[in-house]
Amino acid sequence: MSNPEDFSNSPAGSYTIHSPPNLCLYNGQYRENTLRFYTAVESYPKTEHHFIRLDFSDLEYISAAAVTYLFAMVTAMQIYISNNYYSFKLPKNRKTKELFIGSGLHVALKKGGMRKVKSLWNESQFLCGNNKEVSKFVNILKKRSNVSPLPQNLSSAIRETFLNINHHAYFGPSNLVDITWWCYFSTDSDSNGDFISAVIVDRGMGIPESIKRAFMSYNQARDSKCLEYAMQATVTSTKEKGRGKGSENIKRPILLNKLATHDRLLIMSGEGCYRYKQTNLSESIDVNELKNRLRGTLVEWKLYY
Amino acid sequence: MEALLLGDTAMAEVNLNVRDYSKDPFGRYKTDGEGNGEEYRIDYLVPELKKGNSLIIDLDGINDEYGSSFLVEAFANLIRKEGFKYEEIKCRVKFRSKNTDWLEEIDYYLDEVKKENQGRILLNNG
Repeated sequence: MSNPEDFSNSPAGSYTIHSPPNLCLYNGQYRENTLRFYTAVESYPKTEHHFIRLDFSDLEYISAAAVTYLFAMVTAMQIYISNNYYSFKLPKNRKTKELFIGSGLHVALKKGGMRKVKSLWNESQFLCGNNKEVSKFVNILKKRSNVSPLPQNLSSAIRETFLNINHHAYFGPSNLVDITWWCYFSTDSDSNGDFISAVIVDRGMGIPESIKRAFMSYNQARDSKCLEYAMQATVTSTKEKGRGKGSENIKRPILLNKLATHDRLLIMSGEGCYRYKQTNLSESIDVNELKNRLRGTLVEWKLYY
Repeated sequence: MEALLLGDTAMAEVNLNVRDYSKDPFGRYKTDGEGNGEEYRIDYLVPELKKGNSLIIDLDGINDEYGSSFLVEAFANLIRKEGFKYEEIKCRVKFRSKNTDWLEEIDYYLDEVKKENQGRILLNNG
């Protein structure tokens, strides 16, 4: 029986896909529905003769991680397949619609190709680029987030994440590709205080795949186990001495901000999900297997300041 | 630059500022783009060390934080890739910064290579 979410044999034409009411990658209740929605969208043939209408009519809530993945999925297709591949129907819910527009998401998703992508650098919190634009991105994050100074080691963690994307995600250095990463950053507050969230997404092979290719003993391992292994210090698929420290850099903002026990690092890649927290001076690692695959890798830091 | 004459060779103490190389040091290899650790090691550090000079490297004045990739490739890999000995680097290369975390991190990476090399010696002798 074919997968009901597999539309890879759909003939040329227009198709509408309805988003679930909650696009959220944090909450287990909504996460699998969100991933199923992405899987369905990505399964349509990627040709200039297919047109996908994403219907957000029923959307009520969208999380920072979910919105970043959506931004990546949509702009990648617009740039590499066709600017007209996607169209959108805005949420019916007034508050969600205001958020959809006010956050800059609507501008980030609409047609415009590379010209749009370049204009996002002027004002948006949705940004995408390649390894040449990493320092530029960190400077914009500092200015546009209005968090000064940024939580300790966040910018070096972001830099090392971008470097990992450059070295591993696309089978080696990818300076010739215009867009290799997508990012969204935002500030907000909850009952624990003010926080900054920075999400980075790539659409490469994913960390579990990289580990499986490099380590025979992980060839058959579940993606969550591969992810947990990759996040250990000194583990590197290159097996070169002195490498594999990026994972420590990526965890360090959580480790150093010991006063804020609600900080967390979230990594999703393939079918693996990894959460890292620091509570009462001890680290807490939580790994889960996802029922639906996430293409590439998503990394998010949520840091209270 | 202070010079000290030892026999026929002038041994100088050279001050280097990372900020003069790049305000945004980032990345490991030349393929990672401007400001990478490999280029800094090969083009700035190694020539001075090969002349017999000692280095005082000022880490401050950059726009942002250092990532491990730059620090390992530029400094710890003087031992791994350029053939200098740990003791030689500790003696001839001094680091200066107001940020003690950076100094400790570099020390940690240098010590890591030392341990690797000690392990190799043990293996060879074993």
